[in-house]
Amino acid sequence: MTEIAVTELSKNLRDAIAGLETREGLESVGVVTRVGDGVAWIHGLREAGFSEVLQIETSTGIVEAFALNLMEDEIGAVLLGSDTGVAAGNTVRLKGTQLEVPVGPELLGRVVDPLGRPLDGGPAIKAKHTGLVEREAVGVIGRKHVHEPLMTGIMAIDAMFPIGRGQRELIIGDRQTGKTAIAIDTMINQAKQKTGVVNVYVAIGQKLSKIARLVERLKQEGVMEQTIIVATGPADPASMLYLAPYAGTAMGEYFRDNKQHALMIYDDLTKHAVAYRQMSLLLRRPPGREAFPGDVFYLHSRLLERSSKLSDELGAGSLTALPIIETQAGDISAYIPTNVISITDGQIFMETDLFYQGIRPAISAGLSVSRVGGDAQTKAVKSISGHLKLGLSQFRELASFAQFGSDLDEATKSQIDRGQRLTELLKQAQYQPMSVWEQVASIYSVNEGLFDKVSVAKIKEAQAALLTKLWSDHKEDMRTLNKGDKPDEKLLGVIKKAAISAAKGFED
Amino acid sequence: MAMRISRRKLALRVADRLLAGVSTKETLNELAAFLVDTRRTREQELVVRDIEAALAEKGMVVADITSAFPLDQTLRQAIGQLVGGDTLAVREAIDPSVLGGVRVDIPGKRFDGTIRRKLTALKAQQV
Repeated sequence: MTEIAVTELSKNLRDAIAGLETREGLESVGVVTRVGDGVAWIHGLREAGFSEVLQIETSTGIVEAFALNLMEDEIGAVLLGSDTGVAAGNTVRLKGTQLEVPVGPELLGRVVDPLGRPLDGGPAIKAKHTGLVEREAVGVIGRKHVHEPLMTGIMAIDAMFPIGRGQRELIIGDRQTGKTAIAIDTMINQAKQKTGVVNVYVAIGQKLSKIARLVERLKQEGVMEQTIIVATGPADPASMLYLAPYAGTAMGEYFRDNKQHALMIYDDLTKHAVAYRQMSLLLRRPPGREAFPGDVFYLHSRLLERSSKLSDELGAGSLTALPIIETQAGDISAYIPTNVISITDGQIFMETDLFYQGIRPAISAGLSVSRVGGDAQTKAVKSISGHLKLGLSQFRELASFAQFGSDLDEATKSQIDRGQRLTELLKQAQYQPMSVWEQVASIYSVNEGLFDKVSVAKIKEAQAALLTKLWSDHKEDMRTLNKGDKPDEKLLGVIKKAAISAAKGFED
Repeated sequence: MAMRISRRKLALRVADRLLAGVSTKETLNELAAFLVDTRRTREQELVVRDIEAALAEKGMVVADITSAFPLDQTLRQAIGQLVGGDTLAVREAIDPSVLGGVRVDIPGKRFDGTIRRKLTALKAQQV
């Protein structure tokens, strides 16, 4: 055995380190061989990892890109900025990181791009933490079942399709049917009810005028302080649209992981899939159905899987997701809609017909569902809205008979009458989310037949009168009810009395 | 259609033949014929880069040294140490646009100690 030179260990190690350091200045470089349509092809850089950030040295500065196609002879990378300065022959270096964005409370109230750079003209964001844009979802052990309500403030949703914290509920419908309106109302409700839920609104290829209007509205409603907006417009490169939801999710995850609750709104994933299709086709990946690439399902499933309710050991935070999908002519059996429907825990389907009949929000009672929210529904609302969904679905089926009027039997007639009143009651103006007590009192009054003598046209007025009366005369009772526990007989008696007296003013 | 042979495989084959002692002229003639036959002559620059990389992996390194002024012997030796490898071939070029310092390119890697690089980095606020 050779003798170990213990005394020389330190010197040998120092020499070895010095020997390594002489090669330190050598960095891996590649060269751009082709560029166009926001995609650069790079020769060299064989050690680049998937989704790793590359820096292209152009004559006007450094443009970043991320590697998506790692092939034997070349790398396909998607540029994160304009491709006008990038030319064949440019040197490419590895940045040595995967894509990261700033995360944390510093972002609240800000409008940022998918790389976390401010777009609102405000000061630079000095976040203490960063989050990986692409991150694996929490595992089985780290999760807990969805059990706390996330009140949207929209009566039709909270009563019939309750959403829980950590749930993924899809909002789907044609253009101009009020999909975004539901998302905005939900955000406003978080501020009005002081739930402490942080909103992250991700605009994917939305018109910038629409985003500006939204920001203005959220400021007016006092919601902006607990909101982060990740904005991309139609003029942004497809890579930015592709990254936006992942970057937004990284920002939301910070709150989830720090024992808080966050609400993600992806507006909308149809445009996201289209942006990804553009990137994939330019990267020469084989097209599949509707020219989408083969991994378009994974694109959305890995995004939405990151929404979760964490176990108590991990702090019991939650990330709820409201993805939005736009359909063409109500066709929910198209490729992307069916994908996202199967990924999410339920969907709220918006119907054009209802919208133009003036039933707004235009939520279809038959096609909408919430698969996990039942456990999470506020006890107070659950106790009074048991048969609401069934009654309403049956009414929509019977509604076509309504024109026969007197030819119907009594049972059917009363079902139609109740259905008409319920439909009228569930209409709700935009930007006016309702608190728990308002929802309970309204639904209880109609369900118990207390408004049966009020004509359908006057239901909303009667409801307003009831709510005003209850708030002025029974403030404390309503505060108790607002806590969400199942109301006792005494409380229901108070509502009943008020409803009867309110209805008197509007009877025919 | 026959399967397209990747540039990397092509380069490894050429490098192996060169190191095995087959004459350079004969090897390159074969390569040229192959590229013409498969209509891939446009890739010739990239194939050369790949062959250089394949040779470097096997210890035969070609270094391109770019500097603003001619190199002296001590600098050449220092660069030889930096690059390593069994045999080292050097191509030197004078390029005033690097302003100062020296840039060494070996296949797939670069040591950039030029003033121009530092200025670019400053511009990108990375220093």
